Parts: sequence; structure tokens; C-alpha cells
Amino acid sequence: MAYTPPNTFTTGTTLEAADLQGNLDALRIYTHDGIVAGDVVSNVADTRHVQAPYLVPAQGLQHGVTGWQGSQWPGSTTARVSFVSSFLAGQTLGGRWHEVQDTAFQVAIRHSATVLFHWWAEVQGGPDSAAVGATAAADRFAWIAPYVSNPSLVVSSSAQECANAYDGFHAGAPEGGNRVYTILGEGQMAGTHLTTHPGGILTVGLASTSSIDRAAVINWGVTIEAWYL
Amino acid sequence: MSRITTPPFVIGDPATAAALNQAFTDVATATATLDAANHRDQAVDLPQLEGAAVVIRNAGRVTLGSGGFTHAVVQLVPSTTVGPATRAEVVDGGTGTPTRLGPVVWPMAEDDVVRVYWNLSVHPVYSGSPWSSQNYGDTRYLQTGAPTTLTTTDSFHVWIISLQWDITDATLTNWEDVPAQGDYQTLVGGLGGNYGENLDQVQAQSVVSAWGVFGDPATTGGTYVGGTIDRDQQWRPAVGAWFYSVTGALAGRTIYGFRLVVHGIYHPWRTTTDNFLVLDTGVGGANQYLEVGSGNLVALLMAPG
Repeated sequence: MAYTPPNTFTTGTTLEAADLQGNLDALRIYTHDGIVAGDVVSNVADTRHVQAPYLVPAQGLQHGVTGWQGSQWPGSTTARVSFVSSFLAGQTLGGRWHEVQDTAFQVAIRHSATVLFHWWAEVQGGPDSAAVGATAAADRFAWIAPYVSNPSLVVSSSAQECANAYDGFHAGAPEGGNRVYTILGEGQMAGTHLTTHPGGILTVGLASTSSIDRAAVINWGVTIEAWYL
Repeated sequence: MSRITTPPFVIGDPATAAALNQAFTDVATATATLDAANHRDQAVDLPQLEGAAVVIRNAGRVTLGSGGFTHAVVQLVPSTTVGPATRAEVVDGGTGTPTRLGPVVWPMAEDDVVRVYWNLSVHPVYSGSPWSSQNYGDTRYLQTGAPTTLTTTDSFHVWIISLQWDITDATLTNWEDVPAQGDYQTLVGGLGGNYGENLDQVQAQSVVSAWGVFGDPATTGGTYVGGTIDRDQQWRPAVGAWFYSVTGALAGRTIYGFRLVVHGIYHPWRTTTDNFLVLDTGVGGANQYLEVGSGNLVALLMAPG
């Protein structure tokens, strides 16, 4: 039960030091070990509110009471290219999805959480010769989309695409792209995915499928926010 | 949160039994109503990320448009030929059903933070050389062989995808542009006068290039080769975000939904003091439209711990 002062003071009555001290002592006792469950609204704090904070430098993550927060990116001034090829996707429009390397987080969710995953990528698509592959030249794209758990669970409705520089190669020496790279074949992608997780191991990252024989993810960044509260 | 608000004793004031009793009564009252703010927030949460909006009060996601990533079903948004621009909501291209976040009931309080993110696949389509009748844009000419020339443009024409919310009721019939985002429905002038928006009020929108016109270099030098000077922009991403710290009259209002609207075609314009995007009805027409595929919109309402 709540603190109850043992003494009440009356106007015109001498203030006794013992009475005042008695009230203060009662308050001290209540504060130290007198607060009972009935004094507190139920469920004000549970395990998700008491988390040891720590840092995971390799993944750029920190964990604490509020959850997980952190970002990852290629990590240097020199682009580290990941190829996303139609040969991995089955050389068809909308083929298999595969992981884009280094772009996934795997974290231990301690309690039910709202998870927000942000991503961006810069992709160079093609040039790809129209004479090769089963997909029409104008249907050649490299897609990137977020996935949860594994790339087969990709959120394809959130996919972003980079069109092939679909004029392909210039015929004749010296060989090269038939059109200027920056007109088509350069893709700036970004997106956000929201999910909830009941607790346990969560993997979230980027997957790709491509109908371009050769496409390159030349820069990327991923951020995770997992909120317990 | 249970707290004691009675001022402390002040040196020089007369001591009274009533004041002394009140001091202890305050403690008795406060300790009878201890709550989450006392135990969790003040003791555990706030020391971790003090001052930040770290509590997810509400969150939601909706798939926008239709057709999946292969653009199997698309929505066609026509360009405007008479201002102001008609703004089309992003819908399922097959059924015409709006794709919006809501209805939800998300009450906003002072210092809450609203975060909205969206991404869409879009494809700007045009036919011929609409820039030949443009009201805005620096018309340039490429010599493709004397005396033949081709008309080109500065390629600054754009489509706009902007964010609206409904903070009136759950019927979702009272859409309005979010704070810091204008509606492009105001006549701002320009060549012959047209509708547009000051760039200081375009903070919740995506911009999509309508076309890119370039010279196709000859392989052997000399004049440009004829024919291909413009390229289909192809399907491409349109991405946007909007953040808002709830304050003033909007504290106490409720969010019932979010949606995106598409309109165009615009071009940069300026006065001596401000920059604008203005509607270019000269390039509008049935053959200039934006194909909208699929995407998603994510919104969060976060509260301080």
C-alpha cells in the first residue's frame, strides 16, 4: 500500500522532533522496501525494458533497451562490386532471387519488436547484348528488394529496378557500350521495409534477380531499426 | 506519471502544521499512483536515449500500386493539358482500387515524430517530341547534317509524386497535403501564367524525369548522327521520405491515412527571389503519361520515451 505518514500535526500543538522524524523514518522504510505490487500499475516494465547495452562494431550495430539500431555500407572509398547476373536468376524475366553479399543483418531480437529496414543501392546494368539470353532486350532489368529470413521470402512488391543499357554493345572495334552509360543502365535505388518480429533470430537483407547478363551493385547501404518499446 | 508539484519549504516563511501535513500527504498521494513513467521511463528508458522519440506508438505498411516487380499490371496517369494539374491517387492498375495506408487511428501528441517512407516503380512515357511545343525549357538544336537540325530540350521536365494525409476522419475523404508540401494548385505566373509550387514547399515528394534528350555522338566525328537523340527512360525507382515533429495545432489531431498522388508535367521556373516548379501544359497530352507499377509506403508515429 502507499506510504502513510504515522503522525499528523495540529495547529497550536508543539511540534515534536520525534513525530517529524517518525514520518521521515516511515518514508525511508516505504521507499526502501515498502513499495508493493498494488502501488504500481501492472506491467509497467518487463524484460524488454531491461537490456544490457552493447556494441557490435563489425556490423555497425548497437543494442539496448530500445532495441537494435545501426547501419552498414561498403565501407571504403573504393567501390566493392557485387555482381547480380541473369545467370544466377535463370536467365528469365522475374527469375530466382539471390542474396546481395554483405547486405544482411542477423540480430537476436529479445522481445517482440517493430523492425524498420532501410536500404539503398547504386547499380550499373549492362551493356548486355540483345542477341544473348531469352529475355527481350527491352525487358532487361536488375532488381533489388528486401527480404526477411531468406531470399526466397523477398518482398518483391518493394523491388526497385535498374534498366539495362539495352542498346547493347557497339558493333565494331573498339568494342564498348552502344550508348552513353548515364542515359540508361545506371540505377539509383532505395526503399524501406517494415515488419514485426515476435522475438528470436531475425535476418533481413537484400536480394536480387536480374534479366541482364551482367549488372553490378557498385555501392549500397543498409540500416536496421528494431524497436522494443 | 505520478509526481509531487507542491513547492518546497522556503527559508523565512512561517512553519505551519498545514504545510507540514501537506508535505507528507503529497508523498502519500504520489506513491499511490506510481506508473510506467516513474518506474520504466525515468528509471530505465530515458537514460538510454534521452530526448529522442524512441517509442513506436503506431506503425504501418501498405503495398502501393499493382503488378509486382515485373510491371504486369500498371496504372496510367495522364499528363495535364489545362491547369491546375489533376492529381491522381496511386491505385491498383487493374481494379482502380486505391492503395493507401488506412484507415488507421493514430492520435498525435506534442513532440511526437511522424516518419513516412515510400518507393514506387514508374515509367515515364511520351511519343514524338513533345518538347517541341514546350512552354518552359531551353530549346536547343542539334545539327544532324547541314541544313538539317533536330529540336532538343534541357530535359528538366518532371513528374511529381507527393504525399497526402487525412487527419479529419476515417472515411478517408478529406485528403490534404502534409505540412511543408504544397498542392501545386496555385497560379504562380511564369510564361503566360501557370500553376506551380515554390520549392520551399516541396518537402514530401518524389521527382521523376519525364525524358532525357541527348546528342548521339557520331562514331567518326563531324555532325551528330540523325534519329536517336532521345531514349525511353524505362522503368525506374521513385523514392521519397517525409519527417514531421508534431507541434502546435496538429498536436491532438489524429492521423487516419496516408496516400500518394501523381501529377505532371512540370518544369523549373523562377522569379527574382524564388524558384518554382510550374506546370507545362505545352508538353501535356494523351501520349505523355506516367506508368505506375508497384511499391510500398511505410509510416511510423513515434513518441518520446
